[in-house]
Amino acid sequence: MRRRDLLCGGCGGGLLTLWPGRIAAGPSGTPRFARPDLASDEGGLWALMDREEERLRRSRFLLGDDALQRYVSDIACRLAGDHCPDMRVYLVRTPFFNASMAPNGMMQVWSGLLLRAANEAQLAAVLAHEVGHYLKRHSLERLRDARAKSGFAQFLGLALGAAGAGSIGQVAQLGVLASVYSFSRDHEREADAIGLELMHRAGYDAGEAASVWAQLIEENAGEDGGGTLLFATHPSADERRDTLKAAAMALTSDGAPGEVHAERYRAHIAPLRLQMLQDELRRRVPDSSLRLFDRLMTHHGRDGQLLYARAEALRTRARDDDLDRALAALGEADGLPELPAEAVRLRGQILRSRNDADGARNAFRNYLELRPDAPDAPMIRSYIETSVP
Amino acid sequence: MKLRCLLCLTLLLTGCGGQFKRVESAPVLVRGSMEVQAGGDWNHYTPYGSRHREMWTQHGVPIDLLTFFSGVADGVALDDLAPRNAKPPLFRSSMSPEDMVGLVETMLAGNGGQFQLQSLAPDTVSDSPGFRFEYLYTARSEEVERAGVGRGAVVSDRLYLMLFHAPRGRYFDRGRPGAERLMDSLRVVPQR
Repeated sequence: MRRRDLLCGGCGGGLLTLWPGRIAAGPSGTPRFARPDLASDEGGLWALMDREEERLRRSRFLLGDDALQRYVSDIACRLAGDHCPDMRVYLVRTPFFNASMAPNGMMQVWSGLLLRAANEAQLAAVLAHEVGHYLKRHSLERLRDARAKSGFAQFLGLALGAAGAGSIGQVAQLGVLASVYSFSRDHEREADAIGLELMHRAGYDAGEAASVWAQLIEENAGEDGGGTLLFATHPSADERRDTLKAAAMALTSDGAPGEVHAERYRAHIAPLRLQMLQDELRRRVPDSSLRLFDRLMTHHGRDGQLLYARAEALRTRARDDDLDRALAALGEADGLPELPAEAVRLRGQILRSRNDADGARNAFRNYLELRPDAPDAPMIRSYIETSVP
Repeated sequence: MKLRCLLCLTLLLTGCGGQFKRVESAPVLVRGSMEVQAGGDWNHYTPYGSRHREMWTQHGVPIDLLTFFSGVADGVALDDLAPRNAKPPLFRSSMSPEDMVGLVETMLAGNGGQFQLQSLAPDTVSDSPGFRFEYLYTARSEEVERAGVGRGAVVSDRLYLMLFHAPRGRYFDRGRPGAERLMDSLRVVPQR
């Protein structure tokens, strides 16, 4: 990826300077932020974020898809307006729903969010919300508050965690982090309002912001969590969804509802979608994964990848008639485009577990024809060679 | 001396609250059911709260780690040290080798890490049909790519599994032969 793209996505070349002397007003009247004095607490925080950003730039968890990178950066730039030159977007391979923006303009978008968004407008809703926090410098305010309460060491830890970096940036700790670092309700409401306005101005259907929340609530139902742990601490999700819905209706009452851009969104994430689905499956939380896959099928259609993912989650859960349903999903996926070879192996695994030796052997043979050099080929061959499954 | 200093530093850095002790003699009975011929300078540690896990290292946990999972019972999580709210997947004695490798995958990389299976093949472990696999993984928290090799078998409905992993390259290549010799020597003493 070119550094130029990383810095500014699809912005014009004239905006490439990172810290220009000219400070223009942002989309909600907020002037661009000049780099703070290093001796100030804000300057220290920026320096810390700069260091973490340098680490992130070298991370093996970056998605590394230039086209997707440019696409998401373009969306962020459209939302941020004059603040675009100050933002750098990083796409991070992590199967949870999250985006964040550090005070120095480093924005992280996790692959779990890219998988879950149904269309470009939904992604824009989340990014616009983060831009809202950035414009109002909520993180700085929150960190100052935290520092006053908990001392400098924790302040640093929180700052690193906020950037999704450092030792506290472990995903396993994000639940704890979220509870400590979560913005106040007022901050969330303010970011929601700004985000909605930014979306609307950029030409998106603001109603999709409420849809994002509705989806998260649905996926998070039950005790298994789901891929939305950062939002677990956010209070009143239902109320927030309803408030966003009402605000979006007020915004769009005088004109067209705006664009959703579902097709071009799907096209941009298509090259990485199977990897994102496999990352989700690796979590082995089949209940919430099944809710996610079923919802994606209503948005994207019942294609081979999603039917395979559904079947794999059902086999992992293996409750009641789950294996029958998994086989039915694989049957439906037969012949569909984008069917991964893993789906063929999965059929063999299910049939083998049911002592259907002939069926399993046929499926495994088909799998090896598709993937003769698969890492598990020796094991699969041993299944074929043994007459008793 | 250097080894001990490194080990102490490692323990401090990794926050392991327990104590590593030197593996004194061969053969060694690990958690009452896995007997191995210990060669080389190994140090062992039994994590507090684990029902079936024991960890061995020669140069410190970040440098090389051999983990024994001794007699994991049906319906018990392989990763029995996972946070309670994480709900790790459970081992089932009917699982296929792919499923058991999947448990390892989720334990090492399910929470946002990367895991790449390099090979999976049938194997004989302690005179029982088992499996052998190799993998690469990177934990989200540290971004160091590690290479690993695992051997396991289900005996009397319980899983006996050994994993060795170390940073890919020099450390893994250096530690692997000794770890594999140790794995080769495994004799399962089934639990009742």
